[in-house]
Amino acid sequence: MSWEVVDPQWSDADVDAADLWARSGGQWLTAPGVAVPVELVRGAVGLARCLDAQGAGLADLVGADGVGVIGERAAALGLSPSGPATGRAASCGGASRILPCADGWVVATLARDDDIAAVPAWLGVDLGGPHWPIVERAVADRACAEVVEQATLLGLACARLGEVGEMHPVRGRRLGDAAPKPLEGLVVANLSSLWAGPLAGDVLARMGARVVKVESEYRPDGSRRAGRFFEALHGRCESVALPLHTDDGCRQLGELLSNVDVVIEGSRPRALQQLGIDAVTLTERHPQIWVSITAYGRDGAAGHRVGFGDDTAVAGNLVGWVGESPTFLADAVADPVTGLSVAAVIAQLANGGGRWLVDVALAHVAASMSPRSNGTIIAADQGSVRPKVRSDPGRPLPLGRDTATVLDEFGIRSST
Amino acid sequence: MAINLKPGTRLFSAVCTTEMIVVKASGADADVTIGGVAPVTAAADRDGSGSVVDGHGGGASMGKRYVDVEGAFELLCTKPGDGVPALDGVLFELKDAKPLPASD
Repeated sequence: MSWEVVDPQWSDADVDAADLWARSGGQWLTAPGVAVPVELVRGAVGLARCLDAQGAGLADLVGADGVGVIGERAAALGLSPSGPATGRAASCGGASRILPCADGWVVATLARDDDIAAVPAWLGVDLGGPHWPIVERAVADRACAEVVEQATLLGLACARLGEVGEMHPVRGRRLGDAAPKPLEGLVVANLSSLWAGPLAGDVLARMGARVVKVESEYRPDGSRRAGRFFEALHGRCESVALPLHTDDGCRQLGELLSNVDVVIEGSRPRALQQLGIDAVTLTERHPQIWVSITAYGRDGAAGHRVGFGDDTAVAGNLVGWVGESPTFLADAVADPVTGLSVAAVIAQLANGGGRWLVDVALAHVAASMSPRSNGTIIAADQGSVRPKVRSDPGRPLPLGRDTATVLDEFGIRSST
Repeated sequence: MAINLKPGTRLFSAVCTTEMIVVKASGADADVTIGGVAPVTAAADRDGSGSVVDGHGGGASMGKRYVDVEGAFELLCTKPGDGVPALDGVLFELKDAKPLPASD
């Protein structure tokens, strides 16, 4: 079965990109004086306007005509600007670096203790101190391909700068016919975590959808530890927690997903298959739309790769430059633009009808907003505005608060 | 047969499709097997003979981490297969998945 282009349709309005970028906080989060591609700002505002025309209310929620989504996580977490803080370019969140290799640049994200513990296996070095200087020395005289290949084997988020060079549209496979569904009352199961998927779920909730966040009891969304930002993105959700480490929990997940209209997930395809969940088989019957958020796409070896918002942006060549050195643009920028893309694609496909498996890759979305011509804008130091938190702070969502109610509603037997 | 295990060493089962990469190791020689038979360290060294020893099959899953009873070694499965790893004849245990990061 072949893939079709299902890019979200938004019209490219004539906007003052420099002004919107400054007001979004994106400029403040980027190294001073760094050129920002106009395509990024146009893409973000185009998607936000498309969603606002359907009732999302992003312009009022996050400011800067909706481009404020780019700065809102950094504002909520109190992050500092990215850029060459000490030595090599560091991301706002601090877990990613862009490093020079013998034949180009690589980006890596080491977000977890286990990621750092894998550095000796990645590069054949001992960890006898802070890991980044050790990593930087080790990659300096190696080829990018070798560094990325070994990292990929180990499940580390690592890519070559601009490795996703060509345009990759959002792709969908039409799996059957189904009538259009209104967004009002559309039931969405959101299995995704961190930023992109939860943002998409929140936007859809604001457009009238009913969003059920589904987590593993024993491996919940790590961004619950981010407190305020988690609450902002989950104020309108229900929470279902299932024992996904057991066969019974996997059965409940399969039954739950058969009772919703839309699934959003951000797992590597094999992870769900290992739980006995097959996206194509399910979507051929129910749900109607399945959106798989990946780092580099679902198919083949790419489907096994790990990626986060900062490293996939660099893979998609969505970077700024300080002299001869690449630097991050704003905070994990592939995440918010992917989140908006996912919401826009779901709204479009629900409206158009049909059964769809959709593959939205962070690196592909980033590449579609990377500089193509000389249409860049220069971030000036003057008028730089700090990123802002959204006007609606959301509310706490205790893990599993609605499990019993939702399982009962769908006639799913709870754990024995 | 003891093999020198270092972090980053790749292990290819001699008797099935399972492949592992060493994530953690003491650097000492160890009597490690996959599918009950000593693995090779390059895919080209597989000779296609032999089969998985009883009690050493059941399947290794892509992306899963395996640790020995003492916690001295950690292997990550990079290609699934029937054979599972063992140290001194004792099977490795499946390790819990990495926790999700709070942010990136």
